[in-house]
Amino acid sequence: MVQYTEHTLKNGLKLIVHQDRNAPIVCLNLLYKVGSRNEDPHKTGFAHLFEHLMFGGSKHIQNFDEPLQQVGGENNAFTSPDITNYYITIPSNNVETAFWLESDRMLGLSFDPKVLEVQRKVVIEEFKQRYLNQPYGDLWLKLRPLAYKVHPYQWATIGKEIKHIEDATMDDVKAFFGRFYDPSNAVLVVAGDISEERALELTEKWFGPIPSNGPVEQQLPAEPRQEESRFLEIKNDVPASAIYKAYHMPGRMGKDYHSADLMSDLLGRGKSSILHQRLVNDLHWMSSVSAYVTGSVDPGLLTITGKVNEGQDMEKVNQEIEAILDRTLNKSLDADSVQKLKNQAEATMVFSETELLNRAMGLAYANFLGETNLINDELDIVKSVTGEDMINMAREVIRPSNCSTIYYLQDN
Amino acid sequence: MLDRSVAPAAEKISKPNLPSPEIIPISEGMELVVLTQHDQPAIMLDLAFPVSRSTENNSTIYLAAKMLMEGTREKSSAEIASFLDFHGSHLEIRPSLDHVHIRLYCLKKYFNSQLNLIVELLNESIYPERQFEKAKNIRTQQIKQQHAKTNAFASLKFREKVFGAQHPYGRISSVEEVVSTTHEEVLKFYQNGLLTQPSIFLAGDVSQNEIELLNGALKPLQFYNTANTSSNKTISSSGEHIIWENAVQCSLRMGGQIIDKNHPDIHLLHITNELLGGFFGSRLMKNIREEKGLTYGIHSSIVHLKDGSYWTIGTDVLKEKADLAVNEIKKEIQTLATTSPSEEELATLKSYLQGKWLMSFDNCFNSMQHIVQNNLAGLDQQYWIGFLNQLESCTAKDIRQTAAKYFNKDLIEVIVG
Repeated sequence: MVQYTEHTLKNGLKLIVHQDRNAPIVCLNLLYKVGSRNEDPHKTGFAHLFEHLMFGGSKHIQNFDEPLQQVGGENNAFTSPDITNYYITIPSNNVETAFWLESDRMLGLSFDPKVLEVQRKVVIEEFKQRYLNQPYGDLWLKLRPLAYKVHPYQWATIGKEIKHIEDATMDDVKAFFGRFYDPSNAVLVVAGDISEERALELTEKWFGPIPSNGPVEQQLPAEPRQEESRFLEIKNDVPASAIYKAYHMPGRMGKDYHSADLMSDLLGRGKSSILHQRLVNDLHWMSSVSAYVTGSVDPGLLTITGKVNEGQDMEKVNQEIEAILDRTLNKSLDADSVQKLKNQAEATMVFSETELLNRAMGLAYANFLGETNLINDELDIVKSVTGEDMINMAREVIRPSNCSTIYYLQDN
Repeated sequence: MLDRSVAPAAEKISKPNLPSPEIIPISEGMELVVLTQHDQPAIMLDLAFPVSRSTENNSTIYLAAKMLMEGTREKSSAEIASFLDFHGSHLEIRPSLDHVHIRLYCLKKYFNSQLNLIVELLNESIYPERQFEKAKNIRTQQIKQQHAKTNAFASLKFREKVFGAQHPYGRISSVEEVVSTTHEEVLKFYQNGLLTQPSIFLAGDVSQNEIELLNGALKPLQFYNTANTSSNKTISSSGEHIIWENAVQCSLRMGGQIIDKNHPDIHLLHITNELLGGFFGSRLMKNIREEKGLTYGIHSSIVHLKDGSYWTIGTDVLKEKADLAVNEIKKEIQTLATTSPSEEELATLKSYLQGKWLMSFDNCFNSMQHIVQNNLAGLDQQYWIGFLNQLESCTAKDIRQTAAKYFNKDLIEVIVG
């Protein structure tokens, strides 16, 4: 049970406070409700490039990292299709420095052209390191536009292409900041060795005066129902051929989200999963196989992926996967295998919550989804899912006509 | 009016509450190292079996360890996996260079049944041949994958250059080595070499009951004495530039052998390394990433192993900028070795490290990671206290001298890409 209190400032900023006195540290987690899904299709990779710029100095403070290091703090950030999340961990007696730094960059950035030039290069190197210079690194650059034809999930957070990052201008940066980095578009979590009163006082002091331009209004195009199976073949110098199959599924707050999530676990989480047992253990056709969900706010993807052993025919592997799916959907699930999924979910949650930072992020994310107490309720929701719910959901989701398949073939 | 241009007053950073684990002697001269925290109903158990790589090849050790999950007299590979997954447990068998770790994460309520399974794996594994072929195949795929990534391969190649191609730490496992490893060799190693007397660590929501269960479970087990390792001769060689036409980036590794944890300069070395390339505000990160934008990241790190320690700077850079990066790295080392850092930079470094230490002991599972490392290296709390004292007293001159003594020399350079 994660205890917390909630407040909303006059400028719309949400504040959540969670106390934990185990160690003399505090986490400040600031979630902005902007990710790559909010980008202009012709200026992709921007939310992520922006994350880098947030470290290049703010309105009154030239350098973000140094003052933080001087008082013993550490920080980082990440960008997803849905959010950009910044976090600081700091000794509790110096917590005010974190408020000072984090609030100043919400107020405004330095907009220094040199910072943009350097971070542009860094992001281009990141693009190469993570997406081009790794075996299979470009997979999501290819799979997203295959699965999504309309919705902005069709591009990855790094962007569609390097050119979009090369072309970013300072005007773009300013417009993006003005629109999305608004107090009313953010959730602040203060967690750890701090009282509610002190957290509220410091939040009012540093974030209270930041003006709001009003809430962000944006309608994202909905992805239409997929009615034909899609297929792409990639040949590349990779250590083994791989297969990827992606099915559209409900979004994070959709009614059947957890049924789909549990179904992906049943199919491909761990060595006892159905796909692993058949394809790796019994047939020895694959060296690994797994299934997972993207867990995005708008309808996401249930993805099956694995590496195929040398000498095995990809077509045969694909047919076997589809046959396994078909068999799974056409019989009822036994109670033990459903119970297993719930036990796994429980253990994952318990272990994740041993970390203060995970609790802070979890609270911010649950609030962003619209229901902070989801952090405590979610396990019960998962436990209430029945085998029948899972099968009914899967019959809708795991249809061949809802699937995008990629054969990533070894070519050397 | 709020003055945002002035930083709030800073206070001295408190020292971390260093964890003091309970050491409980159990049968046969073995000890149990226990750290408790009751916030979450979760438990971690780590059994660390010392291995000697001088008598067995890497693939034999690797496969023997992994095969522990592949079948016992009572349970098939599938049943073992199902049993663990059903309880939401995570059992990880990780062969490292000096130990084979068997690490369990589980809910407290299932600890007993999971522990019994581990005992069964240790005692009654049968190493089915069919599963052995599967394990070999998975390992082959992993090696191919490692050898296809510039950064993973550069790290392996660097260690080969530091220790020598025949040294257990320098040998690079090949697909051929895996393929030629026989079932007989692996089974034999399980029967008389793998299960050496382990170090045992228990963390989380632990009470007397779990300690008794563990004690009872381990009692009937027979462990071998750790084989006396004949010391392996280290033969360092110069670097190598391996060209991969298709690579988009180059992976760079620079460094060499370095002093071990018992050396009196060890804490100064770690502090100096941190300033060179250990954190975001380090010299290398500021120059190579933040000023020149040559890379997404660059790190300098020190690795301590039982029979040797090494220092390595690692980064992935634009292909045509590799020479520039190498020169800039050398320049930064040279600067650090000849000019003392400013008092301000030193103060920042100290605060950063003090904060980092506070955070690394923030919950019992994280604390246990440090305890395991310390304990396996034969060290205790004094090592941490020594570091924290050194951090407080270290001067700018100490940093310069340490850099001159350990970093400013001929480096082994490996470039892949």
